[in-house]
Amino acid sequence: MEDERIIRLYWDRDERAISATAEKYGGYCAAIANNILGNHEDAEECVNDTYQRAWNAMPPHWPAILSAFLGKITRNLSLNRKKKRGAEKRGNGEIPLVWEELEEVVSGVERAEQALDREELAAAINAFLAELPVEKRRIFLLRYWYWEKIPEIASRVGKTENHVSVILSRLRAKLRMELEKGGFCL
Amino acid sequence: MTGEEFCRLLSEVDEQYVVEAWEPQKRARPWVRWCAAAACAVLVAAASLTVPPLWQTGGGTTAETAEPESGAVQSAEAAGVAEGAVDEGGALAEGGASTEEQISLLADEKTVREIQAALDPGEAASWSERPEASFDFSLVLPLYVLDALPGETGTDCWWSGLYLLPVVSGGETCGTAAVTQQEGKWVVSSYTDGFDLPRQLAPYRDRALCAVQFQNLAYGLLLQTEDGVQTVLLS
Repeated sequence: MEDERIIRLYWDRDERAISATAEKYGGYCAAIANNILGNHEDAEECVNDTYQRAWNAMPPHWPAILSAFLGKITRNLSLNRKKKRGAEKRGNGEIPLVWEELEEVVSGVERAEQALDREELAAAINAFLAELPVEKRRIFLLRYWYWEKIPEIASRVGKTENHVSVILSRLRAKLRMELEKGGFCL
Repeated sequence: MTGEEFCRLLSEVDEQYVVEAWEPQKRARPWVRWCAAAACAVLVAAASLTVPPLWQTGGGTTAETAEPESGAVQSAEAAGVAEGAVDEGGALAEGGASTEEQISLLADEKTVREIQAALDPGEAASWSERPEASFDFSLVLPLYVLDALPGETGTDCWWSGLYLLPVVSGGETCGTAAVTQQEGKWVVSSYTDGFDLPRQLAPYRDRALCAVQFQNLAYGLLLQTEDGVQTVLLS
């Protein structure tokens, strides 16, 4: 079913919207949740919560890109759950590798007084991504948006794992430099 | 800001990029894939012809190119560097198989042509981060592993499965790539930015026997000198 028709079902409060979403984007959302959570049960719950959130959001929202809209909800729900699970295991909970890698971009220090304009920062990140060649942008987002593992990314983009790791490392350094240049002290 | 907070912020990136990242890349046209498959077949066939002389000892054992580790046990002899044969000065003791007969400084033309045909030219730009960079196939060196640190006594030497070749940009060497065969494909395994292979090799060209990689991953050369075979570290 076309995205516009699925969205229309949501707007018409037709419950077939959920099954249509599950059919078309269930696998996509599950992949994101699985990547982040690494646990099928938690991932499944997040995907079901995604449908619920989508149901509540449409209307009034009309997503420009349905897949990205759903993926973003799944991602945020999964990150929340990840944090909750981490808090429950505090003491022996390990920092996910993705967060650890991203600490190369930021200071890694929580600063309550830090007044950051999130919109401006997001715009700066978008500007950084816009400047990248498509392949590097894909690699960056597959790792840090989708939480894909390095071997999976390597297989997707047809490069060696070593090469993907090198590209990611350079991109992190470059992003940090670009953000600092833009006046962001993270 | 923590890595976790920054990760959350990434949810705000342009949705177009999010979609673009997930979409499969366009598939190559069938004829391109067939050509690639044919090239792989040629490579495998060629490798089977070119590699055995390096590995074969008296017993005629041959190691697979894709599994260089398996050749390590007998590779010292195969490369003409008998176990314990490197003296304290880094020189190889006399005796045993002739080094020159077994190892070589330059890759044979056929191998070079195969690598040239199969290696994605875009890899040079990608690894070096210089859009106009390309590989220089005029200098392709098989790389041997030397079981020693620079200046130390080595006891073992074997072929790494890698070839070194310069990456050039704007008419100058900007780095050196190490290429290898993985699952039938020639790929860049690592890239050393700023390592000017032709310039490093030039002073030793007339007496260099082969390129080596020391235990600490630094590149060097085995040299034929009046005192025997010695190693030199390339900086």
